[in-house]
Amino acid sequence: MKATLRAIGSRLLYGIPVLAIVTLGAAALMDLMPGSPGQAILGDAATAEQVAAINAQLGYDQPFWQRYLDWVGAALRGDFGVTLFTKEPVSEVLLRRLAVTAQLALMALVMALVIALPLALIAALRPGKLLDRVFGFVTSALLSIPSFVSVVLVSLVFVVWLRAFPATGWVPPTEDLAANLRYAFLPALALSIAEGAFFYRVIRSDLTGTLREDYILVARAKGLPRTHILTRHALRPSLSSLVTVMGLSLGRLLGGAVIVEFFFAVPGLGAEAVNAVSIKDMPMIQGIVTVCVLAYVLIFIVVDLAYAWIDPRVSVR
Amino acid sequence: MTQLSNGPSPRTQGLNAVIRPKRFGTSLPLIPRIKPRRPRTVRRGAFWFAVAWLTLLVLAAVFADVIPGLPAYDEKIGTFAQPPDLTVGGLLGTDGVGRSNLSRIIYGARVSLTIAIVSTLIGLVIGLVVGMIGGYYRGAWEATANIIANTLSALPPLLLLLALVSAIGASLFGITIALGVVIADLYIRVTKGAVIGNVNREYVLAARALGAGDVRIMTREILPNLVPVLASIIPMAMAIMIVVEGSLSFLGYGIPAPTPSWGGMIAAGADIMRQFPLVIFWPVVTLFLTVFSFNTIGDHLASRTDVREAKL
Repeated sequence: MKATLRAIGSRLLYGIPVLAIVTLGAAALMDLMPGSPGQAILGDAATAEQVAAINAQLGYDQPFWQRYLDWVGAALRGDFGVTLFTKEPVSEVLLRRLAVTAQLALMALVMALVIALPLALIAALRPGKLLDRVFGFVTSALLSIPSFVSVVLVSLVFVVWLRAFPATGWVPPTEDLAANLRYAFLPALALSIAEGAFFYRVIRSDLTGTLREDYILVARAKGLPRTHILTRHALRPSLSSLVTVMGLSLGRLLGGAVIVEFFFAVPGLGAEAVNAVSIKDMPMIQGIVTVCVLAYVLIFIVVDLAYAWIDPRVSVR
Repeated sequence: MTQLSNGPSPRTQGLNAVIRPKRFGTSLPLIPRIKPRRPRTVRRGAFWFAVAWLTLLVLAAVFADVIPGLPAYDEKIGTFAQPPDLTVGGLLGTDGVGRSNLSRIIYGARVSLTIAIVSTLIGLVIGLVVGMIGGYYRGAWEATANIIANTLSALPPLLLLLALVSAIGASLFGITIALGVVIADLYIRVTKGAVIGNVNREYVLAARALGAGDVRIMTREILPNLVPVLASIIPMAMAIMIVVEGSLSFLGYGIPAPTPSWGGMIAAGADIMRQFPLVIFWPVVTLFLTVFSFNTIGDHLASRTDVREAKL
């Protein structure tokens, strides 16, 4: 227990330099971008004095380092500032948007896993046979579909042809859970296509490796049924790569579901990120970046702990 | 046991080798076969298809200006969303404003392939320099390389890209540089890992004993040994570059109009797919085949170079 806590602590410490560099990098990038927040608020018709006045009011007349250190100081006290246009607290917007994105990400992961796991088990039973090769070909084809194509295809099939789901929009689950699921299904499906194909490949290749171990042969020799061996003996040792891949997927889905959210008009973190970059909403961008890095660090702590749970020979250090 | 003697080198797996599966039925399906595998004709077919498709695409992109009868990418050749006919320009029909789909796909290939190749080179140079120094000197250098790679991958790639592109400018130049920077973390990780695996090998020791300096060992001794690893990564990274460039265009932050790009064509086609699904069909198929081809070639090279995979 003590070792585990120390492991968590050291990983959190490691996240600090990454967080510092990423937020500094984001601030520097925004500084390099043409235009200023004052310009963005007032539009092209504003005079230079008006723009300068707004910039001074927002603190953008300060030198770059001063602004960054001010932001760090405030963020350490839990104050992420207010958004540029709506003047809402950034932390509130972040929480609201993150809840939407997290729901989509979890739905996508579950859907991907529910499809990939049984298929991988079936394929791994007879590696190299027809079914395995067909699945292998299909997944490599699925992996070649970019997300902006899969959203279009999903929408073509389910909205235009089947008319089964609403095209775009979002209903919060607190308002109407059934409607929420109807709106969330297509974005989650579009996200889960590539993830599912990827999961399938990882599980299948680990399973075929495990099934060649001698203890599987022993289990066969004892006369245990095939499904029992597959689910009770072979599955758990074959999950370690899957856990890493799922961690990576979750990190990617939390920060990078930009295309899907954009296309289905889902008010998530990715859509907000695009919006914030286009209007140079510095506090918002820094908030999103911080959330993404924190998620990345936390997910990998969970992944490392899960390793030790799956394979007791692995100890967390 | 007779099976062990025939065939070039049957692979055995511990005890499994002496247990022969029944000829028919599925009594012992969990025990892998010990007879030598048949060559994978399906995979090889896919590989040559991929090579043929990419060759065709590159030729079309290079010689786009001299293909007889091909209209310019911004020339209106008829009404909007015209179905395919037998002229060169109308072979794939027209897009939402009456321009030739074939022409726009071919000129779009120019943009996509240029960006993919140049940004891969940029990422490769960054990755090789940072990765080799980090993997060769270890210690603080490795920590620095790790932090650079982790910083690049902790940021959502599209957010980083959008910021970079708006900082440098949404031109061919700006997008290429931004993509090269974003993909560099992959090359840093791969290079560093491979260098660490090579740096203690005998040939490096031999070179050092002969008096070779660090730079010489890195560039002349270790670098050639990184080629197999990188060769299988590069096609897959190029596929990613094409997809990401398409995503930027799809979001409206890519190469400015009227220069055609596949992502932009798909975004424009999505608006009218309810009535004219054929307009979006062609760029989607082209993009899919291209990404699939790069991935297939990468897979093929990986299975040729990765010992573990070749055993399977």
